[in-house]
Amino acid sequence: MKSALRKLWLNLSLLIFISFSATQLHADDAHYKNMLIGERAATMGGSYVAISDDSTGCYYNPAGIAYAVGDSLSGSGNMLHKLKTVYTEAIGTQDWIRESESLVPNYFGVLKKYKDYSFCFSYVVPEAFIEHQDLLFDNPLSTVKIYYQSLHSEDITYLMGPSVAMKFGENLSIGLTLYYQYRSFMRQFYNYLESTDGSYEVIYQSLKLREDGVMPKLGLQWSPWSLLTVGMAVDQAVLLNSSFQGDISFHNTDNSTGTTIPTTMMMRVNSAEKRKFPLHLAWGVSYFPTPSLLYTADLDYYQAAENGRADIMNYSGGTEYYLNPTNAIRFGLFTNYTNLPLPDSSTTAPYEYLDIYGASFGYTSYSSSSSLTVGAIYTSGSGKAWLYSGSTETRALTRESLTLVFSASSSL
Amino acid sequence: MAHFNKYLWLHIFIFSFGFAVSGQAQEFRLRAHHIFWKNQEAGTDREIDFGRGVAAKILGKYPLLRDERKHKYISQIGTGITAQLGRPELRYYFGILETDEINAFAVPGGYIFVTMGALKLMRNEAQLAGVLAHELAHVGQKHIVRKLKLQSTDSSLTSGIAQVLGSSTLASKIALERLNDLAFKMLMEEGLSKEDEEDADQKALEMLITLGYDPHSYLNYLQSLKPHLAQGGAEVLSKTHPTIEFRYRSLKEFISRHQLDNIQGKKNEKRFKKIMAKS
Repeated sequence: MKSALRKLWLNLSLLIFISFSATQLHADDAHYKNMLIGERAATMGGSYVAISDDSTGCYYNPAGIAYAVGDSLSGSGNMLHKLKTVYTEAIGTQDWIRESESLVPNYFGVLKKYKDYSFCFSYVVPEAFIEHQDLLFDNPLSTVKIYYQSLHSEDITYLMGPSVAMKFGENLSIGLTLYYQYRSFMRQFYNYLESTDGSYEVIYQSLKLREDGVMPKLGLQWSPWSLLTVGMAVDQAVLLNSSFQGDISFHNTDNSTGTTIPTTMMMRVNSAEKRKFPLHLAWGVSYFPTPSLLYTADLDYYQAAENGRADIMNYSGGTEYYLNPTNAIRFGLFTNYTNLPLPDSSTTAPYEYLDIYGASFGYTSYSSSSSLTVGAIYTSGSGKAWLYSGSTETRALTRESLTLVFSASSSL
Repeated sequence: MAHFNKYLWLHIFIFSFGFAVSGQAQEFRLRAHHIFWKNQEAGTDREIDFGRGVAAKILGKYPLLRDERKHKYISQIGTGITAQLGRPELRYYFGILETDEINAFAVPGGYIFVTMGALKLMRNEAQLAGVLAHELAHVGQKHIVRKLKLQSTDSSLTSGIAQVLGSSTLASKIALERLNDLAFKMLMEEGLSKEDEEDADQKALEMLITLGYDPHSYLNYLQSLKPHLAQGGAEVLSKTHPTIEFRYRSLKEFISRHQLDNIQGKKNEKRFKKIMAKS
């Protein structure tokens, strides 16, 4: 009985990813394109490096704001960002389902033009994972009566800062954004397991992390010939401060000898270890055949900065079509590949290998001085998860997300 | 690192290529909505220019009354209506024409005139507001501009009033002068269509109700026009508008259809008479 319980405990408690390394805390640091930003950009698959001619450009490519048509104020929010991850048969024969739901105002920008210069201040939330769930499993295994977990987690990254861009002649511009980056992470996890012989185990985990850093972004944009623009942007986030605190308390009873033997443990760990962010290079090309139609495509290359990460390239593309001068629709496709190396026979938990593909759609209504956009972004991916610590055993993993976008902008 | 260097060189190559070729101005970036609203603005500017010319012709026929108090009064009433019925892109001008002829004119671009003859016939502020709202509806719905477009047979005109007005060539100046003549003729002789007048009457009535004025006063004003039309005191009005019977009947049907019979409102008769009595 003891060995069965211990095995189950391994199978369950190690789902928790109890790690005191700050580098492994991010809700999804294996992907870089978890949230698309902006009004037009988000609904064209985030492909905006060669356009970026509104305040959203501060985030995608600050050089593009040099071509903005007038001063503007814009903001957008994800009306609903719903993420669902399913680990097949992770708990006995039952699936383990993790769900994240957030309502995040993820972009605000104000843009002002002065002669050949454009100035912008923007606020961006590129990452937001909020999980609040309580799961109860009755008799997940023949030796386990109850398995219960309660997870409350919030992990949000904020960027805010000024941008400036200037034109060199008609067809070339350069821009710079300097973001202050702030991340706040907290997780509280309660775990209870009761076996059929009356013994039980309880774990309570509380994790907190705060990171401060800067992210400069340099962009260039030019038009080699009419109807075509090409853009490039490079950014590199650097942490200046990282402060982590992890507390864990553990209590169990063992009835295997016929006598109840309790074990109790409490531990606190602090860390100032700083994550290293990849160098990000983005290229884009956009074609404007008519005032009612455009096509755009981007490549995003990330050069890994930490061991255990791989260089990756993400692709995105989109189109914009005006049904009439005041109503436009947009479509986009994009990839969100994992930055983890390909797993092999030596890969052990915790490890998730998952490539994600996404599609976006949006509709914008324009008035003389403002616009209103609604849209949706759907992503889906499948892969494998190594859940049980020290084990090479895998489980099928699927992830889906749906984001409803609401954006508005106004001329100043 | 080798991976990065490969992409870095790609960067340098693309940029060098970009610098090497000369590009065009960035007008192609403008999207359909930018162009649409830009044209709308330009169209408004041209409409104002056009209206200014027509207004000048009217003022050539009838002098403007030099009475600051009356002018200020009708401007205040008119501006109050434009807040509801006006086009936000226009700045409206109100004037009183010194003539006993009974009429009011709406000129494209926001120039509104009412004659002294019409003011003398009015009994209260609600009637004045009704007449001004009727004229503002013509401007708001661009009735004159639309009719001019339909009437134009000259190829330089059928290509669009906006184009004619937007050009500074001698030919376009001549065309503009012809358009001004056509508009003036329309105001003084031909008038607008029956449908446009009916539409303006209904919008005037709606506006009176919205602003809390007595809508029936406007009907009373129309009735009061009858004897003057018969006696020739409103020659232009009789030529350019549908018959009073038609307009009255149409408004009555409108009131009945929308169950507005019992709606009452302010008339401000005392204030109106006080201002109109002084000179």
